[in-house]
Amino acid sequence: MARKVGKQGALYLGVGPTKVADLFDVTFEANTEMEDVSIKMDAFRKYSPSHGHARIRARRYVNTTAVMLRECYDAAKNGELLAFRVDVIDATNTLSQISGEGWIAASSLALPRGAVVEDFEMTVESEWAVTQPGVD
Amino acid sequence: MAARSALHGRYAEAAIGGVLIVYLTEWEVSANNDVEDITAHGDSFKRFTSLDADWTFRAQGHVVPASAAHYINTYFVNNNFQGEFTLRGYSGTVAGGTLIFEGTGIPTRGTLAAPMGLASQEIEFRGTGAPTVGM
Repeated sequence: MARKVGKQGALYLGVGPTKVADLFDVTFEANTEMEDVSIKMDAFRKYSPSHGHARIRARRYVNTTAVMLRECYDAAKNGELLAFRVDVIDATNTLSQISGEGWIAASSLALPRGAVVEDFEMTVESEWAVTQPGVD
Repeated sequence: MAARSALHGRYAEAAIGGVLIVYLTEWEVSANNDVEDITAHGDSFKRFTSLDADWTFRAQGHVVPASAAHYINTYFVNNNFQGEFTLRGYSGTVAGGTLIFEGTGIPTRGTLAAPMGLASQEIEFRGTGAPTVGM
């Protein structure tokens, strides 16, 4: 099978779920906090797992509205827990899909001399899962 | 040039009552000397004289899961007189290292903490009498 390119990937948010339009970059990151449990005479550090963390960082071009900014707290105190799904290839469940829930924790709107770009970061709230439902 | 050798705390165990302190992460001995101000009229600088000294021993460690055998359970005995314990600190292991501190102390404070991170425990002893090694 041919190696995949990211340009066919997609990010879905919300109840629908609804695909985030004009996306050109998305990264899903996950890590586990490790507590140092080293004691006297240990030659090598030892660790015990603590909480898990994950986040999604993405960038999209802006055509009409900066949709992600409105998911951060503002005068209307928007912001809600959103379901998400990251597809390696859009709507293709024979490849990996990552699902969970999260908050848009940060967003920015950039107006350079070139394209107007919206950056945003989602903090994952729930235990996320990566599946290939068309294969598993 | 030869490498400099300095004791790293990872190689310094400690024992209470001859028993290695379980899951030990840190130990400390601190000493204090009381002085009396004997500054007199005409002195341009303060003058002091020694009265007496005291010391404390503190140990801190991780907590063993699903076990009530923590420090305050071992050394704060319910309704009993808090006895004296021999406290020893080593450069190296309790079994085969070099004794660098020894003294007798009485438990005065203990904690068992379970924050949103690693649980930890601590025990502190007040020294009674002069240490026999290291001071």
